[in-house]
Amino acid sequence: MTRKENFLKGFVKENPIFVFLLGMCPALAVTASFETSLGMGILVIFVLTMSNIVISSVRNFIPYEVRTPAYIVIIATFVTIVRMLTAAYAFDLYLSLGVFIPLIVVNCLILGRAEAFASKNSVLDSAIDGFGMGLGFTFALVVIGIFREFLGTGGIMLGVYLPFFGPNEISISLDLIINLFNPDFVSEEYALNFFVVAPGAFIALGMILAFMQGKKAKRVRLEIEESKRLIIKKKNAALAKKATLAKEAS
Amino acid sequence: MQANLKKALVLFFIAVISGLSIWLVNQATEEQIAMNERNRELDFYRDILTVEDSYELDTLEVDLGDGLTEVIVFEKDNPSNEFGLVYKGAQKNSYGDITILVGIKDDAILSVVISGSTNTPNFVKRVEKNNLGTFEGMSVSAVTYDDKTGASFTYGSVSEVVMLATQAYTERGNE
Repeated sequence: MTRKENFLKGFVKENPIFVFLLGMCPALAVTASFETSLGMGILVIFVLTMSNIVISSVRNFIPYEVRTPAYIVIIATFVTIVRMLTAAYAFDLYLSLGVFIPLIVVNCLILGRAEAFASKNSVLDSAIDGFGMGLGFTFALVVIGIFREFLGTGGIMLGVYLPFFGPNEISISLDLIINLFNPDFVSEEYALNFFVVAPGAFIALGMILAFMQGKKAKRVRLEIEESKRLIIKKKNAALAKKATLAKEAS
Repeated sequence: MQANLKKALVLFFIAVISGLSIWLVNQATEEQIAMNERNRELDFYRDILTVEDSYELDTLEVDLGDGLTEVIVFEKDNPSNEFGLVYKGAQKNSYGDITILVGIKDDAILSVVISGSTNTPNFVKRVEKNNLGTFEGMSVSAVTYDDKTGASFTYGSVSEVVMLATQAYTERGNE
């Protein structure tokens, strides 16, 4: 596997949420809005990349029998650090994510990458793996977050929790375009509030997974049809060759 | 024996490095976190006592025991300009910890706010939505509690703090 493939695999092919169904707790709990999803994603990228780097660096010193507690201590250290940094520099995000920041410690994705990849590969490859997988995880959270917030509130709010979206809150909705044709339209009135509450998270994730699986099934079906076509083509070619040989022999 | 010693040493070494890293980050962020928490608390006081944004706030806190603290809120650098009293109650119940603020002015409850909680969020939301508003405007000498919701640990903590706060306020007036 090249480094580019290693980096890109987490986005679609081995996406932690959409393919491996890892880290489902934050995927369901903090995706009520785009900003909380992105915030959690950024924290996971930091923890995953840093823990992969450290675990890969010390992999030869850690005895096999105590590797799991050692990995957990390393991961917990980065989670504690990220928790303090969030409380200091993104306090609104810290309050919003609440208990789900410390719960990053038990995210299967992070321990899974430590065990499956970082403990067996070089520091650079582990860093790329951690960063790529973290980005893939963030991508999935953001997709769910946008889906839920848009359907649940009628728009996307920016600048509420994350400091880098500026001091003022910005609302993005389709109102501006629709109001050109219907000035009285307010998308919030048509929002399906169900999607921002807990059961809505399951339904939203189910719908996205069904869409992904549908696309995958279509691709597999096309591949099977293509291979069948190739087999028939080869068979016909062989039969034609056989007929020619028989004709020549007679 | 030597192998076990090696395992113990490795774990000890990792724990020491982890502890040092956390200590360093704590040193770097401690002040900023304390400032954020202080600002959040002052925002709560500002909302409860409906103080204009143009005023900078300061507080004087008196520990009254039973987890109750009396907070006198006044203008920064001008202690004579008092905005009111807020009682801060920290309670423990079967759902976890909860901090409740009770704002009192002119013998009436201004509002009751849950400022921090590890209780089940849905119970907290329910109590915030259905019960906290009913205290607003009540006279400190005639506070009534919702007996039906008394079964909720969250509401139990709220009513306990409101009771302690109104008692403390009454005793303060009598002194």
